[in-house]
Amino acid sequence: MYRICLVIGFMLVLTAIALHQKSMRDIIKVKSGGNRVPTQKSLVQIIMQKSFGQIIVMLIHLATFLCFVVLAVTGFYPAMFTGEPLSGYSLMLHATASPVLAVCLVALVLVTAQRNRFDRKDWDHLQMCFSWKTFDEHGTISSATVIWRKVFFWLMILLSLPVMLSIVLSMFPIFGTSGQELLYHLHRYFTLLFVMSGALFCYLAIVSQACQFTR
Amino acid sequence: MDKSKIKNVFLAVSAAVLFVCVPILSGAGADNDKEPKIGDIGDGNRSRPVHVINLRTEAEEGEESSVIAPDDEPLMPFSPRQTCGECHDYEAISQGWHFNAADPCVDAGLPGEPWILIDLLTATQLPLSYRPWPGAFSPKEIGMTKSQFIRQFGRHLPGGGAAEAPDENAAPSEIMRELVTGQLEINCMACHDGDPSHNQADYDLQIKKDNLRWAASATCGFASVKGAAKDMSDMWDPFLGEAPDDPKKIPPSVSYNKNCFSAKNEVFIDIKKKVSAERCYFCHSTADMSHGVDHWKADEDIHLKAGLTCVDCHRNGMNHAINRGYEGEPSGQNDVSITTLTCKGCHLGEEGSDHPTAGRLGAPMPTHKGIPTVHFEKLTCTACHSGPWPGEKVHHAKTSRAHGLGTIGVNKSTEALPHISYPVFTEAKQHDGKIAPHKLLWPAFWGRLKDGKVTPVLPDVVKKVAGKVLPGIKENIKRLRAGNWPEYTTENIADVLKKLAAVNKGDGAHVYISGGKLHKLNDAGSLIEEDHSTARPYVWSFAHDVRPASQSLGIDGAAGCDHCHNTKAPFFFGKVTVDSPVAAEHGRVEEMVDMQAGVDGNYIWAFNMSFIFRPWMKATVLIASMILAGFLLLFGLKGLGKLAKFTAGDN
Repeated sequence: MYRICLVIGFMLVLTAIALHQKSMRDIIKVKSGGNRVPTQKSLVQIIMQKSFGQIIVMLIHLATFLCFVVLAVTGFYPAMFTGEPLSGYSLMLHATASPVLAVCLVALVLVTAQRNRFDRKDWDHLQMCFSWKTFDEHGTISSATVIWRKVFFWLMILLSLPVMLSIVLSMFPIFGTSGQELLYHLHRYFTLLFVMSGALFCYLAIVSQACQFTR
Repeated sequence: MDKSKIKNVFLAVSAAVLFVCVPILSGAGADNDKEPKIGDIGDGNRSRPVHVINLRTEAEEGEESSVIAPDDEPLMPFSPRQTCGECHDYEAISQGWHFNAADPCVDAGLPGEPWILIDLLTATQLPLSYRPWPGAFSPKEIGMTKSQFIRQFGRHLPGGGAAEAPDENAAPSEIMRELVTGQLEINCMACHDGDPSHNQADYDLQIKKDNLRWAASATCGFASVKGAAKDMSDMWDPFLGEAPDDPKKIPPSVSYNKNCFSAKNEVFIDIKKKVSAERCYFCHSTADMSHGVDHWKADEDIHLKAGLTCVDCHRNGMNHAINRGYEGEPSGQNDVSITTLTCKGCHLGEEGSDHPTAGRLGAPMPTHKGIPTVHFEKLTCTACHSGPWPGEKVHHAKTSRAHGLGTIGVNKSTEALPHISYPVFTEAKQHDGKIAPHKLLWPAFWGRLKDGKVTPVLPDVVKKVAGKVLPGIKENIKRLRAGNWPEYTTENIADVLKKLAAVNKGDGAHVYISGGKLHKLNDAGSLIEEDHSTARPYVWSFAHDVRPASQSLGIDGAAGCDHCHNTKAPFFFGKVTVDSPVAAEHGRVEEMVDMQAGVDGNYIWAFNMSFIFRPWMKATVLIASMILAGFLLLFGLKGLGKLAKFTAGDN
């Protein structure tokens, strides 16, 4: 059952990314007459242009991403391929990376919460969507990308709570066997949702950064 | 062929068919239609059936058994087969677990405690069983006859089964001797006698005197036995009871308390259907040697203290197929009233049952707060709840059957062989692969190695061939008096092996197994040791004594994790002493984790090490969760404020 949910979850994420990529490509083609928009820069160029604070923010993003990947791989691999519960060195790696991710998420929220708050422009964009006004296509994709990035950011933060609490509470002598089982399943399913929103947030954040969607 | 010939052939064939089939059919019919005896089916009344019955003698060949009267001459011991068999199906009972060890058709189930053959001088402790339990040797396999087996272990045998069955390995003299000694019938009284004057220790005395026929009577309060069949010649007839010529030799005889007999020669026997724990204890006691000889310091099983008895869980019907109490036991798989007679069954109930089954016999429902469910997949209930609290080193135990506890003149030394260690946490003999507490015995014996298989050689044979080169009694007198190993040197072993090799008839090279190693002579005549599966310890799981829940492993919340998850936890890193008479092997230990297949010691060490950081991890994650929740709340409230402004028409 869980394996099926995993497959569906990952397919949904990939489909969403593919659809977004397709709409991006169409718009970029129209705007640039078939050529790629020269807004993408190399990593070195990006770093050179950043202040110390911005580099710290980047490092936080990077650490969060790495922990995220480690936890996702160690957690999902056995569920996906062996069907066995997480154990052995994978479990140790998983348990070691998890508090680091918790700290990284806090840092990430500290440095990006303000940037990811919903503002007047998001509201205007939503109003445009609902009033069927015509508007610039590039502006649309830019705004939509940013809004979805914000949505997934807050969703990821929200989902991180049950993900973390479900496992940490099971380590206290509060829940009995049935409670432990419930917490374990909650951890698994909330983690799937967390990873889905996290992956989409990562993707949209990278796209926003690469395409210099300013908001 | 004329008609008369055809008729004759037809008649002959019909007669032949009838001749063959009628007895078979009538026999089968007799079996199926066998009327249950009066005591075999209860009427449901829960009160104790009173047994005021006639005692009956053994049936002489071709004769009926007779009722015993106190003025009979000679007085015969009562025969359980005839006395109890009058109202109960003796044959059905003899198929029960306690009696069916030698029956190859019976599922051997989970390996249990073996009989352990001990011989001090030859430094032998050899696990034996008629059941095909891996690691235990069949008495037949090592050339031990039924008679030898009874004399060695009869003290704690319940009789019947192998003790009554014909023995194809027996010498004619042994078969003849059985006419004098009698057979070791099922001793019903060993379990069911509720009389406080029942003395099971007398059973052992009678067996030592070869009074097999008299053994059951001797244990009863209303009878006493004197004399020894061992002293009688093969021609002595117990049914005549004549005294031998030698006045020093007293023939076995029984006398009954005449006051116990009624006018109808009936005797009240205090038979208990619900056997008391005291009776079970005679054969099923375990003494923890960590208390030395101060056994009063040890507690009993918590279930007994709660008012249960052994047979509340270990039940059986008329067939005496007693429930051993482990999950997945072969008997009664489809009967929820039997399958719930396990730890899990009583305390948690049977999954999928159409009615609640948990809490049977008043068993409290465990909550196991804070214990991840993976523990229940990898451990038996007994792993955390049974046996002594695991220490840095394993405990040393003595058991009734291994050490003859409860018998007269038993060696009370704490060092007496066999050396049984416990609790050893392993899954080696578990059918479900779960780790359970086990008792452990390192086999030590002389044997022959042929085609990779080691067959033990009986100590008497070794003594006969190599008696002169065995370690001296004088040098080892202190150890031997304590029932401990004599001290063997590698030279001793080499000398014995050379002696044995000198009389070798080509049935494989002689070897000595001890300390988990196989010792043998190489081509140059030097002693070498190597690993061999036969040298690995024999282990059997145990379930008792169960400790109170408050003394189980993992109790006490987070501190409970530390019971097993620290880098020195006895559960994984407890030291299992490798027991051996060889001086060079003294002090050798194996870690518990070495006994746990599929568990990597390095990984477990690292994993347990990580528990040092677990409180930090918990604190980190909890604090992070609180901060994140705070942010969500903060931004959520701000959003709500904006929404409120908007709905109020404020731009």
